[in-house]
Amino acid sequence: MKKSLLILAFTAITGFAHAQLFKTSAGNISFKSKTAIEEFSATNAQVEAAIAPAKNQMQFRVPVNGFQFKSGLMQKHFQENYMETSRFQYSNFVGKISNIAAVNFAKDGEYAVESNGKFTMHGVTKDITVPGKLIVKGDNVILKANFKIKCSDYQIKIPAASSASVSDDIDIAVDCVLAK
Amino acid sequence: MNKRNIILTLLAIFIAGISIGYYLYTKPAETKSTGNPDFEKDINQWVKELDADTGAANTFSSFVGKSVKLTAEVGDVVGDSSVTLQLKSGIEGFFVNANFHVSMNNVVSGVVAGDIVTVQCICDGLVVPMSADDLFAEKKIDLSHCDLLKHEKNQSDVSRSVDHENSDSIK
Repeated sequence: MKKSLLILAFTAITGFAHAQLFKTSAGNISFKSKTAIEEFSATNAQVEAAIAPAKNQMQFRVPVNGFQFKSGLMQKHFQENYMETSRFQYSNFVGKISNIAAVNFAKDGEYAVESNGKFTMHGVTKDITVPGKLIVKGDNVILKANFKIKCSDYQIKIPAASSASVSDDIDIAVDCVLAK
Repeated sequence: MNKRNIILTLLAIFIAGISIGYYLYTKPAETKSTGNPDFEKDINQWVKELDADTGAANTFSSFVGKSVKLTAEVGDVVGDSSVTLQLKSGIEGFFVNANFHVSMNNVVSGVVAGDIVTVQCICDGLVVPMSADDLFAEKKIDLSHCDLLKHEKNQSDVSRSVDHENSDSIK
């Protein structure tokens, strides 16, 4: 009887761990380009993000056409010329948290993390490492990360006429609240 | 035409060109879809067709950047900063997410699950699960820059709250 109860408890605990998934479909991402003569940014509140601690799996996905710029002309150029959103509808990241053992998803706290994985944008996939922070707060996990990418790495062509106003180096900031 | 007039004409054309260019460059981006929609869809039929299409993501590319008008029941309301309405598509595991710009928060703040809405949005993309390990197990259409054209409160909700009677319809 005691053995059966132990097996049942173990199954329940491992089952819970495997089932645990933190998720959102309305996270935020923004990016900024800064050159000597111009600075601009865009935001998107449609980030789908998920973390499965038991599998140490992390995924992000963002519909590229949903980025909101201040300038309509810049938004149009971004969608049609640079990112070709009708061909490459989504950017996504699939990876792992390299120091996941340091994160206690059951205890409130702030944890510095590093994620390694494959980032796909404009149809090009690259291995990247992203430093970030996980804030466990009740049933929620708040994820914040800042990283840089190079447009040229993802075959995003910036016309020579725009090279002075659009930087090859883009700063990206992610801010998502994931819930159980 | 003398030389002075030619110079003045060229100068006027130059100034007009600069002005138009500056206007286009600084014209703010739309935060919601306006004008006549490119497509008007029955959400259940549209999703049914895309669900049956093995190349749905490619098929959907012709919709990306275009505006679509559709009416649906709200399944859930989500969002950290701006509001996203998860619309019922008639197919289990196939979501349609309609995102509103943060400036529309006051317009959609009264919408709750069970309400019927008519929205006009820009199509952003369609995703299907990439593999069995995919943490995103569902199919999803992403819409953004949405405008709320019509809003009918859930009947049971209306009977519970008098305050909702005057906000049945936005337009």
